[in-house]
Amino acid sequence: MLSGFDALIRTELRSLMRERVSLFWIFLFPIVFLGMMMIASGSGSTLAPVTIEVVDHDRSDASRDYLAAVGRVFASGDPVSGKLVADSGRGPVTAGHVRVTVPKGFGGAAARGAPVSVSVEYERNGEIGTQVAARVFGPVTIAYNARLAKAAMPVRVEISGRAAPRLIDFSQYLLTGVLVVAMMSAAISSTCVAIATRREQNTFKLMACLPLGPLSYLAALILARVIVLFIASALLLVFGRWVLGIVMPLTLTALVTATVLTCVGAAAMISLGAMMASRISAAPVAIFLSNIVYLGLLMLSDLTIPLRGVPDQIRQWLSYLPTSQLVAGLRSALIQGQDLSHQGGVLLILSAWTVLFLAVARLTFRWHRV
Amino acid sequence: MSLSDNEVRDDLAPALIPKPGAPSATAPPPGVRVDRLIVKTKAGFALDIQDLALAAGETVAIVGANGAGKTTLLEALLGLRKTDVAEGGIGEASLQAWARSPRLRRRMGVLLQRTALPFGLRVRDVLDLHRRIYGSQAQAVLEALDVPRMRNFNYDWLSRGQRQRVDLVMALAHRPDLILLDEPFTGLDQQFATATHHLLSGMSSATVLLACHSAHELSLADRMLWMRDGRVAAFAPPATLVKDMLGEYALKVSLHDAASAERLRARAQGAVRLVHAPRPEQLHLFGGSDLETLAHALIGEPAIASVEFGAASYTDLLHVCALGDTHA
Repeated sequence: MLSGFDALIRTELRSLMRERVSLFWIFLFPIVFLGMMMIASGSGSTLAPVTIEVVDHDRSDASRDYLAAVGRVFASGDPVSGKLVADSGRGPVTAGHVRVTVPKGFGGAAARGAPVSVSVEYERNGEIGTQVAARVFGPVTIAYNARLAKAAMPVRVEISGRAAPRLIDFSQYLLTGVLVVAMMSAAISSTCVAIATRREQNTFKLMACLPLGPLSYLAALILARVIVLFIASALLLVFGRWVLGIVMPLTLTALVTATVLTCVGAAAMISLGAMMASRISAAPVAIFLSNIVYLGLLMLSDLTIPLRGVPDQIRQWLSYLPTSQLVAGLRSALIQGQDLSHQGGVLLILSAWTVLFLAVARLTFRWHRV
Repeated sequence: MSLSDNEVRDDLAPALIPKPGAPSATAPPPGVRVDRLIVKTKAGFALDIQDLALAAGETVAIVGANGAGKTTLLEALLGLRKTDVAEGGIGEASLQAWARSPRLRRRMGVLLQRTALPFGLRVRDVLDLHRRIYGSQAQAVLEALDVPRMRNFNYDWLSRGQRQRVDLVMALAHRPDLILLDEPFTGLDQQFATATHHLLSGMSSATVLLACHSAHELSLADRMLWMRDGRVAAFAPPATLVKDMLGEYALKVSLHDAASAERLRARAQGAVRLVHAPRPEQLHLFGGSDLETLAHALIGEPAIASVEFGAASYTDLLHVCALGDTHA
């Protein structure tokens, strides 16, 4: 008896396509936001390259050897990339630059095994990149000394950079985060406001008198939003990947995994929207509540704002939020290329949220105002 | 486009004969039986209906003052209100079954007050939705209400009357055999009120229950259900109720002041069956042939501003029932 269900979905899609506010938040805002954040952060990588002013007063083989070791570290880009530039050492260090000065007698002292020091200058309140670059000199110099002294080191530190999870750079972090932001607009806000508005305007009453009934209509309302959610996500991915040039290995496995995650995540978010709207019968109240939840999740789910300052314990709790889980899953799928077998935890937690939201919605939901 | 009454009738006659395979052709129209229907609200208002029966194919108009329970009765029958007791049935099925079953709802046509479709649809989208959901749409109903001309209009921007016409198409174009309408003539101009009247009177194979506020709507009814404070005050053919409650004649008198009106009221005692005072210096007197004598006597009296004498009408009945002032 579901003839005409497609007509209900089409009706909801038509209605949604004429709601300019929803279209703005689902389609336009995420694209503009992503573009602005990319411009603001300057480049794709986390830290901008730092210029290293090199003042070599010694000009010996030893000093050249030492500076070559420094150069290799900055060329690797880990933890920050830098460009070495010869400098006279006159005048103060340029803002944003780091200056390393190798004193006269560096080579001789090194040959004798006598202590000698290089000095590093930078603007203490400058950019993070500069501060990180300045701190690189400590470990590099210790390693250089050890090699020089041919010391049998009592403690060996083996740093094995784990190969599997690729490092997420900021642009990738941002694109996946904004994907979830767009999904939130379509799944949480739009669902919540639509349900409250339909109740306010007695649309559910009208639908209850049609053969398909209010439950079919609610299903159509939700399905229409799922369709829009996938279209918005695809557009955003295309925009980020091909217009902004964000590196994102979109293999078939990655896309299938992301699609499954999105379906399960959308279910959780739509259930949340339906739960929020289960008693509201005034559009302004629904908009207010949606905005509160939207802002809260936007800031606390590690979507576009890294939660570096939050204590570990709290960050741990926040990572269980449905949107945190979804974005973590999407990042591991789309950026680090992990397939579905790695997403068990994420899928489980998202499903648990869905069950919880649906159970509360089921208990509190009212079709009509009276 | 202008339609005279006859044109409307001629256009509709073939359309209203159920075609083989149309929903109404497969089953006879259902009768409605309410054994007990109780709705309580926080405000203390209760709908309390007992032993109410509509015959199959009958048209019943619900009449009453605002808040008397007309809409509540319709919505309770449709399962849109939380009821404390709901015993009864429509056709072979229980009231609850009608609220649940898509198959039964397919036979039903409903028009409610203050409902809206999702925002942003055009009239053609609404027609498309109706056609796809019911699988049939009588072009004659659309044309009688001149809806095809509005196809490209935005549904949200329609005037009240235009919107009512589209809503009537939603309620009637699939030829339902159980029709529930809440004030179907609201907002319609004379032309479309007449067209709707013909549409409904042509649907003789349907059982119709309509909340009613005009004599035009009332003239459709086989029986009138007068509701007062959520209860049935009277249930009979409207012509019978006019005769029983009002009598044959109506005498409407305007006086120069309220004191004269009070004196006239006292004087008319005995000659009238019912007096209704729309304003302190106005009296509407209803009764039998004694009123005619009184009318003649009043002409020319100095306290009288105007006298109007005639047969008691459905409009008079509606006024009296809607105001609840029934003290003779």
